[in-house]
Amino acid sequence: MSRYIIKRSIHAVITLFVVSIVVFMIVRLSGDPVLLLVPDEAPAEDYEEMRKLLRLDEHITVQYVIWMRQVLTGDLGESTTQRLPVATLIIERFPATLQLTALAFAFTLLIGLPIGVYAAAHRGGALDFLARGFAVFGQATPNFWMGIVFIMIFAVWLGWLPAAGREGGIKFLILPAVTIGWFPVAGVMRLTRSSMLEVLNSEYVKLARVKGVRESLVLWKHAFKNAALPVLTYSALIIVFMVRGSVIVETVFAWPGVGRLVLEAVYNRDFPIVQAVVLLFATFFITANLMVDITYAYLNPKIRYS
Amino acid sequence: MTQQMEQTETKSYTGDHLLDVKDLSVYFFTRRGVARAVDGVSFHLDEGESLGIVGESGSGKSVTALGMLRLVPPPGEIVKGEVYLEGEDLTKLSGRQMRKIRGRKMSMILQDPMTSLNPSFAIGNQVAESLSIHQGLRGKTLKNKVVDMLKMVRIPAAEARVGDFPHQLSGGMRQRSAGAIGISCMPKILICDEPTTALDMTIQAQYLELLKDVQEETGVAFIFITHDMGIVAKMCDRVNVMYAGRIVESGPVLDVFRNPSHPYTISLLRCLPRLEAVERLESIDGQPPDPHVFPSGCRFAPRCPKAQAICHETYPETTVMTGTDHLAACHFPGDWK
Ligand SMILES: Nc1ncnc2c1ncn2[C@@H]1O[C@H](COP(=O)(O)OP(=O)(O)OP(=O)(O)O)[C@@H](O)[C@H]1O
Ligand SMILES: [Mg+2]
Repeated sequence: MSRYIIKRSIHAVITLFVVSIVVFMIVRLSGDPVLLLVPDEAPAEDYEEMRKLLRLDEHITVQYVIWMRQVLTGDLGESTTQRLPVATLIIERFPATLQLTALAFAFTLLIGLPIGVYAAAHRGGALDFLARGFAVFGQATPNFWMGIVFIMIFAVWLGWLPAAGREGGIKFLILPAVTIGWFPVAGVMRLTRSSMLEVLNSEYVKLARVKGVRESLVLWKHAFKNAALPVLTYSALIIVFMVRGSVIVETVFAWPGVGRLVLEAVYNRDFPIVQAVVLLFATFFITANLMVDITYAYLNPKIRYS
Repeated sequence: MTQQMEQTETKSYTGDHLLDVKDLSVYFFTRRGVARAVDGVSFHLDEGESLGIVGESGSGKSVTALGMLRLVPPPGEIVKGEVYLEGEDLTKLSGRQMRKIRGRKMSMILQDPMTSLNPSFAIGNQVAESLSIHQGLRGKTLKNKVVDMLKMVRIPAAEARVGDFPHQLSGGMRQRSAGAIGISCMPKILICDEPTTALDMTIQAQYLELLKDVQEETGVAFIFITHDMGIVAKMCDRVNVMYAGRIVESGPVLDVFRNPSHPYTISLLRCLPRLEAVERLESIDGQPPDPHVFPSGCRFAPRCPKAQAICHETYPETTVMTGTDHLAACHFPGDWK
């Protein structure tokens, strides 16, 4: 088990390294930031000077090494438009995003798992029918659209919840969290249902019943423990999805998080922010993935004992 | 043997037999129509006895067993019949009462030991579960009992294997673990579905010996479900031959082997030498009928070498053969040597 964890961790670090190179290259290829910083009518010397200042005249590998060394010491550079350290900007915005995704993730599991289990246990019943309908609908609607619909219903028509912003407590979190969680709930529900259906057909579930085990334990102990494994793997994907979705959803709900920060930075060609945030998201995802792998190994004795 | 005597003397029920299955029918209501997987099956079992149920794949052996435990999976349903265990009709019990029967009075070792153990739980836990459900054992007592059970099925170094997971065990050890789960609460009846198909020859023989010893120690009554007449000969006192959801011949093993009266039984016995290689009964010409559309006459008639007109028209009455307990459902029983 500990060897497995070490192996997975080394993998994670290597992946992170590769991602950092890719991020660096893509940002460099996406356009010349100096053109944005220097006024159009400025003389060519100013342009050259700015390039030197940002050390964009160096060889690309040198630029990467410089950047990497800074990143590792916590220096993510300075925003080219806001003239503030990128690290400061991100630290300021990060709690909002974390709060949003954590709530959305909890919401996804707390709703998706039980409904999926119940739908499988009562296959063909009314709730199963509803759940399957919702799964198709939930997976077919883009989340910015869902966000707008939610705002119209709950903020504009019913006036129950605020449409935008963050100042003022949990009320402000509900709509954006539900919007981000919408698609993953549908996915978790569907996957849990199909995984449970398969497991409920298995011989070991039959054996549990032959032993006289209560039906609730058959479901949650004997079946769910096995059916949860694919769902767990999927939850790594959910995290990617949520982080990605936060860019749009934070914009729709004027949520002052990292997602909105990066979207603004893209418009402004503020490449230090973009590369830092993308790297942050990647780190976030790779860590989440690693944690999922470790939990998976812990739950699956075939890996735990090898 | 003495233990068996005692049990007969102290039996608390009024019926004649420990288990009395009467006219049990289990149908599957599928999209293609109604599959009459088990169609009016009656038999009985006494304390400490061993009964074989033989028949081709799909003849309804496993479904009969699941019907007795009331664990037929949907879209299957018990449509008719009674199952008396110690004089009590199981088909009338509530779900909760039935759970107290399963694992405690009647248990089953499922067909495939490779898939019937839960991959997520240690073997000791899986044995412990029925003991804690039915006997309320906890802690140290439970642990000791689990080890005893693993010892009873002769799992070597039982103490050390309690924490092993199914994937760490060989096929034979899994089979034994499944046996330990089945026997743990000392049920009156243990159904063994295909006890040996997954095992090679020597391990198969060992396992059968083991089951015999367990029976001697505990006085449990066995129902062996198998394709293999060889196992029936070795293990059973009586045998039911099933074909297409019905029992076509039943009786004491000696009578049935000496004097097989249904042509299907005869062909099963002819297959015997080849069956030792654990083969399905393909050596009989033709296919068993589809349970959705059974023929209206004798269900074996389409494959029977000597079928007459009447065989295709009406289902044969059951005839008493040699001895009172030897029955055959054939229009021309015993004429087939
Ligand atoms: N889940 C199910 N759905 C529909 N039909 C089923 C189902 N399970 C069993 N059947 C029907 O019941 C019949 C008997 O099945 P059963 O499992 O009892 O056969 P068996 O005698 O145990 O065969 P084998 O030797 O292969 O185990 C099958 O032919 C099939 O038509
Ligand atoms: Mg079977």
